[in-house]
Amino acid sequence: MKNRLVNFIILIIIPLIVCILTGCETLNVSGIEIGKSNFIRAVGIDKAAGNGNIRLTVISKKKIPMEGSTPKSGEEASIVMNSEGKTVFEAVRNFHTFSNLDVFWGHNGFILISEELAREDIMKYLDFFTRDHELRLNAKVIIVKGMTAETFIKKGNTSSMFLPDILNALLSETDGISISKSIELSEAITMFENGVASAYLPCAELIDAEKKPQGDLNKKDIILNGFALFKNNQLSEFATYGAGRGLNWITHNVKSGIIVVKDKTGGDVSLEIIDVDRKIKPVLKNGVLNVTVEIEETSNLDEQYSGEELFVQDTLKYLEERQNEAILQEAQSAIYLAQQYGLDPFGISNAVYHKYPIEWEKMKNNWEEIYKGTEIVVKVKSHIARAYLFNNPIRSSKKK
Amino acid sequence: MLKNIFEKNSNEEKPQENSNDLTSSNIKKLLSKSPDIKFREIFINDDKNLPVTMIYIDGMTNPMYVSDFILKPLNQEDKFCDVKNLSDAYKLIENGAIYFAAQIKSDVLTEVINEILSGASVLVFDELKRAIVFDTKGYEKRAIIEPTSENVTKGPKDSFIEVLRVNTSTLRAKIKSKNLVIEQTVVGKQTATPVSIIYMDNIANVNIVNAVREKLNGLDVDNVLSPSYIESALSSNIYSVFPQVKATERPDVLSADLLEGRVGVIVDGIPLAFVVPTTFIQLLQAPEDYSRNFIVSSLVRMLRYDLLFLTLTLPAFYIAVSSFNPELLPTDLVISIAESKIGVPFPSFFETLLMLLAFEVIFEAGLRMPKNIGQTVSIVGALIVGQAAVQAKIISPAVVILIAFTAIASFTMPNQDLSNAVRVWRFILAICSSILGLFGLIIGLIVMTYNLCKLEVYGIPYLSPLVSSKERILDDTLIRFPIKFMKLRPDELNVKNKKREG
Repeated sequence: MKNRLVNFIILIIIPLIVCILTGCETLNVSGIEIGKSNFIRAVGIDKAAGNGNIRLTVISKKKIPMEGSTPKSGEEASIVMNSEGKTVFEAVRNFHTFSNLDVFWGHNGFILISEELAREDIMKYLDFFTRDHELRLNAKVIIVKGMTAETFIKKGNTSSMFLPDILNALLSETDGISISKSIELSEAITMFENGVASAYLPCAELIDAEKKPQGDLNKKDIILNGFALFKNNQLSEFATYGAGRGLNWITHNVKSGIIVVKDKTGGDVSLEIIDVDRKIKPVLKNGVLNVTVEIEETSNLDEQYSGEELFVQDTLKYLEERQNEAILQEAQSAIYLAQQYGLDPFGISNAVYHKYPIEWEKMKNNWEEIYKGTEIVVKVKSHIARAYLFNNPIRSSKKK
Repeated sequence: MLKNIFEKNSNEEKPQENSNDLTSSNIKKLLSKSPDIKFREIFINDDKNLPVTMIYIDGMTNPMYVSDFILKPLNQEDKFCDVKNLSDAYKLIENGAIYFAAQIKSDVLTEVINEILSGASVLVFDELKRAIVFDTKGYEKRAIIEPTSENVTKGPKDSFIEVLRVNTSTLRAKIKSKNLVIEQTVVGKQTATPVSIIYMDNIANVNIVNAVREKLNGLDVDNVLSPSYIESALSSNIYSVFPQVKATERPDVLSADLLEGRVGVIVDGIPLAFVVPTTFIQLLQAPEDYSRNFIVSSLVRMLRYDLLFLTLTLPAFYIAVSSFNPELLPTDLVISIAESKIGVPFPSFFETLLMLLAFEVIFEAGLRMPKNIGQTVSIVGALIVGQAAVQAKIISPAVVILIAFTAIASFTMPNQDLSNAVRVWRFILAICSSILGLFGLIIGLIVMTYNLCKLEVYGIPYLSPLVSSKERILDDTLIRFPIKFMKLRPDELNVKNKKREG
């Protein structure tokens, strides 16, 4: 009994000694206080004009007291702050010089990097975000095309729409059109660390909005448009729209989307992508590398403009061929773009390495040259499965 | 002066009489200060040569028994006409001249006095220095009512009451087996309370029965008026806050435990039965579990385990995430908690500890107050003060919701003693996590688990069968198997007969 009590006391004392008596400093037990923190939701990184410093723009939601009413119209529901420093971390710490609340980075969801910095060297600026313990590795990295991240944040954030919420919605809906893809920081780092294959990050830009409420006249709409392709940590080219989806076709990231083809009468037909499979098959023969990308796709007929009956074998075959062409075009545009710059975002080098690990050792050093000269053949096989509630168009009965 | 009194007293004594002899004057000397103890000198058949003294306690005996079955035959029975001396009369009574089911003869003074004090009527034959004891107990007792704290919707509704014999008879009615042993012992130097040790002779482990008997016999207290005297005596480690003795007010629960091979203890005057050895798992088994479909009761039981964990750690976890690791919560939740805290002057840990304390105050006040005022306390305390505190921004609504949930979850524990132990540990964990955050919470949990793992009751690990190496762990622990699969008695008890049906 006595022994047990002594053990029990020792078990309490040891952790206390470990935690309390290991230094002469006073123990800071307060941690952080949730009510007095400013939760950063997105951060934009730019180069400051003139002095070459790093300029950070952060956005957080303005906290509204429970009993208080919603903010008056026109008043922004968010806080945007700027800070400058020689490095990213210095700029981060400089927020403390003027912010009235604790700046808390644990909920930062987005890292927006301006095109200018991305063209310089992206890894330099991501280092802090991967190293610091307060930041999350599942923050999403987005490249801002054609403008500074600060402008992007200030113009994209409106009184009714909070920028991080918009980005969240856009990134979670990427599967609907499969032009872009959400990439987390940890994923991005893995891509950049891979020596041969090229990294790619989603790219966002602002477009002119149709209607804006009073006070938001200079605001714009955000779209996610394809990818920014990197070569050795430096941005080299954007793959937008069709090329963006082309990249997704080959990297097996197309989940859904609409392919519009013309039927025999010239009316538009919308086909919804249901299922995709793709294989990359490198063949090394007599020292010559040939790569075949096989894409298999299944779609459903979801809309037609003409009154023709499309669910006839011949017509379906015709539509499938048009669909093959459309997919082929998208894939080839991505391949053309990538090969032109010597970029391999498709993971072809990986496929070669896995199939020919011994030959790869010889190819690895001048891979870029080999890759640029390699013929990449895309073979598409598509299939239209069904037409949802009815096969024939609603106008077909009138016609008869 | 004092000396004179003693001398005077000693002078009054008859020289030939020993103070240990069983005579009415000796009894009178010991008991005559209390007027409720009645001494009545009677003559058998009105014969002046046959004096006997009737002694009983007014109020503890049934007066009808005394007058109809003892006094009346002594006066009117024809058999006594031929009696010449007291020893004849004594033999006659002993052989059944007075019809009485429970009558014993005795010539030991202390034994007779104990019988008088527990409600018997005694016929003392001064000349023979002997007495005949009639069990005429007949004091007022409570009726057997529905259990108050261990209710079931489906199942037996009887409960224990304060009278030991009634309780043992209820038990006998449930287990009609020759193997049901109800041993009797007396505990308490002053109260001399009868205590029964109950076990199944063909099932219970002899070592446990012996240990219980030893503990009760070695108990050195002057009374056993409250459950805690017996509980602490039966516990193996009194420094642990976790209950090691299960107290139940339901005879069916005790019966089920006896049939598993455990030992029961019933104390006269306490409407509870104590079950040893008690393991942690038992405290989370509600009687209702065995009256419902096994799927339903398994799900409910799993919910109960979850709630145990929640009620234990939720306040501590809130402190940890709100003042140390807010990145662990979803962003939207963090922001809504942060918004609810705008204007609240206290840090989270202080706020949470304050609310925990306030809950304990309301709980305690509700217990102390009479039943009808008790509700007023909870309404004023919880609704009015709570609402006002939130509106005045002294407490944030998130904490109020949290503590209310914690409190409700703690009420789902089937055992009130376990609930109390959890209350203590909830505070310890909350304090740990307000010093070191999640790290502190984990340290606190490790210390608690260590405490639980170290605990042994009657040589059985407190956490068994969860810590057992046998595969039969899941029988009746996290889920309840259908009855037909529960063929064996608990392994850890080392019972004589392991098969339930045999």
